[in-house]
Amino acid sequence: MTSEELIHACAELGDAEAWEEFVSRFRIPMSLSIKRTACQWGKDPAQFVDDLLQETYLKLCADKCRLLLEFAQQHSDEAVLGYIKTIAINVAHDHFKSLHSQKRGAGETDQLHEDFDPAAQGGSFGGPDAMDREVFLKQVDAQLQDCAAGSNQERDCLIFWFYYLQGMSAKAIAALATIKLTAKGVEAVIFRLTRCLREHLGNTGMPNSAEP
Amino acid sequence: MIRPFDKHLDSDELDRLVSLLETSVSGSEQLSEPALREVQRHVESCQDCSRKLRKHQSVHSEILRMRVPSPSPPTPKCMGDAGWLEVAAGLLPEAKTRELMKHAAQCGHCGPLLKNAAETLVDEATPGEEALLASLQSARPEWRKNMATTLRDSVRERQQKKSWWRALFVWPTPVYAFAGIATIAIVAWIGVRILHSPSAEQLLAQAYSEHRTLEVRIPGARYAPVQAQRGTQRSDFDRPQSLLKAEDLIGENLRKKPNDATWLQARARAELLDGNYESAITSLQRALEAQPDSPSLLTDLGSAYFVRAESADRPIDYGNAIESFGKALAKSPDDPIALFNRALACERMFLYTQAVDDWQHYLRIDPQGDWSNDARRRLTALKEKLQQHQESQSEPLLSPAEIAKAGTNSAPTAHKIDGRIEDYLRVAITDWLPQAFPAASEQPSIDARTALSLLAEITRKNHGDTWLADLLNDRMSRQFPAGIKVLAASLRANERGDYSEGQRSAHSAALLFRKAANAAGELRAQAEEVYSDHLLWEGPQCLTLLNQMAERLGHGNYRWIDA
Repeated sequence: MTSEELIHACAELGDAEAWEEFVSRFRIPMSLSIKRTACQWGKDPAQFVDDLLQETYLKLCADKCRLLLEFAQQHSDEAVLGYIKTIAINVAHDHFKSLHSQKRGAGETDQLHEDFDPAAQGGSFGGPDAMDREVFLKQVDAQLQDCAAGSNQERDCLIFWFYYLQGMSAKAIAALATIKLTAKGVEAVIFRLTRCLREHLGNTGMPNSAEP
Repeated sequence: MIRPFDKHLDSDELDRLVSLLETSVSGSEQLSEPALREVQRHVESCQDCSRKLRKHQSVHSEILRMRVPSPSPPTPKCMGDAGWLEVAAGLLPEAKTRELMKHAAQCGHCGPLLKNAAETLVDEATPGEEALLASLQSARPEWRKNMATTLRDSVRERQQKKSWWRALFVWPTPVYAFAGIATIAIVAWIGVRILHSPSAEQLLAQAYSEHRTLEVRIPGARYAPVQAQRGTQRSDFDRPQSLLKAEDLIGENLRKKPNDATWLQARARAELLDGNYESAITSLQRALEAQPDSPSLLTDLGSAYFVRAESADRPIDYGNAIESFGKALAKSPDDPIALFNRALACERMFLYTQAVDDWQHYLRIDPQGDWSNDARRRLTALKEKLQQHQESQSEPLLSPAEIAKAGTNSAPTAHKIDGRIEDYLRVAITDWLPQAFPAASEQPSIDARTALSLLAEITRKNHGDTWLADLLNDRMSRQFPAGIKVLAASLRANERGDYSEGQRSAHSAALLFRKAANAAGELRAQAEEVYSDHLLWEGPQCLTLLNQMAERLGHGNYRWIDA
């Protein structure tokens, strides 16, 4: 049964078995999302997951599941799962945010990351290292376009940059809905592109290469 | 087997040697240890291969060093923190997602935010996560079953009438019902007399009725109207004598038997009567450790959650209360106290259909007396509420053509509009205004203008809100139609959950209205932007805008925007 059929059976037909299936199907992804959000807030997930899970279910089913059903009618099962997980994460964030603000007292606002002045990193903007890095990145980018040529060029380049520039794991990249690959698939793309780049750049040399 | 000298490294062997630098991604066939040693010996003796390997290793090291420094400060192209979850989950339009992902891939500020969102969405659980999830209440089949029942009841409004009649037919004949009730009452009375400490329970019930502060019921208490309580703590002088006596008795017995479930339950009831819901919950949880299936304890725990939900403004506790009452009713389906209290909790959770079912069930168990009169009053009020809700919601909103046809002096039309004034204000922004003030090339709708005038009059006269009237008064600028169009787009975007788009459109609309010198339009667009900011978690931006608005709102009568 697709998500749309399931939600329809619950919301419109009131089918008891469908409701049990609904609760079972989405419980683990929702619980995981809530658990990870709790960890981000430094909270013990065991104390919060059950309550927030219940709150998420109620939120999803508010107004006879109208919003969820409408979303399911227009999107794939994967997107519905992403939608449900997003609601769970937002419910958890709202809860912890509210706890946090109660603790600090009303009227105060969160300190922005923007206010934080990060310590200068090695190779900061403008330095010789940074300029070398920029040159190298351009060289990699140009070569990458060739290596990734094909119908999935844009996706494959993104995977490469997410992995090497942002340090995202293959699992995390695969969790991005638009990538539409498993973690193994992501690893294969990274491997293929890395090998191709190395072969080309290894033969043409690099800006700061000490090799003859 | 010795590798011939002229057999140089192939691509897989090169990959294997280079990937010794990095082990997380290796798509090449793994070489066996002897083969790897053989390859390394070859590299040591072959200059060409050695140089080739060094070059590849050098390139690979450079690739590994490409990582952007983070966290970096945001650039003007960066978007708010909250939107990345929607990007990762693929909830935004595809073109927009692609554009944002390209930005995040290179940005030291947005990349980590997207990474964080993606890591939260990963489907696969670690062994630690699996163990944690398995230990939760929600992993138990009965939790899932109860959740499914609660959810089903919450959306069963449409079948309400059908189930109401079906329930009547399913119920046994009145004779059996009466006999059943009488038997239960007698058995319960004997049980209470024999098994429980009569005096403590009676004293607590007496205290409840003498000065009823709880909406939920406790067993044995006579009906009394709820009295408002001033302050959170009462002086001992204000407390009923029966409660003080009961507390003495309970304290004395708990000193002798500190873990006795009966006395813990009595203490919990006394604590509830005193408003100490946290202590009551703790006492009941301790009692339930000894008697986990006791319907009476589960009912009292549900009542304690209900009181906490009311006192501490914790709506989630209504859910806990319903769950606890549900467990009690699973053991004892005709328990009047659990039915009565669950009906109250369901009403608070807007589970009206289930509340109606519970009140009807209750009235079959307890058809006469003060409590049943109270239940009947509540049931009637609830049915009226349901009826009104269904009627108003099932009727479509009047169209501008219908309003224009009825005329601006039609009292029934004005009454209908006023009954759903917020719905009409919304549709005025999303539909009527763009129809009444379209781009120069299109024909304006006279009906929409008539409908807007009437709506402006109703909001001004009946609600003291001059927003729409002011908006319509300052409409001569060329920017006005564009502002209207973008404001409508903003509301629609927010409604479908695309808060980034809602925010952008609202901001553009505010600028257009500012150019058009239309303060009402600008304030409404800013209110929409605040709404988007709030949902995008852009707290500081939201507060700045709110402060700006608060100053200007002080000069006008824009109640809905104020709210």
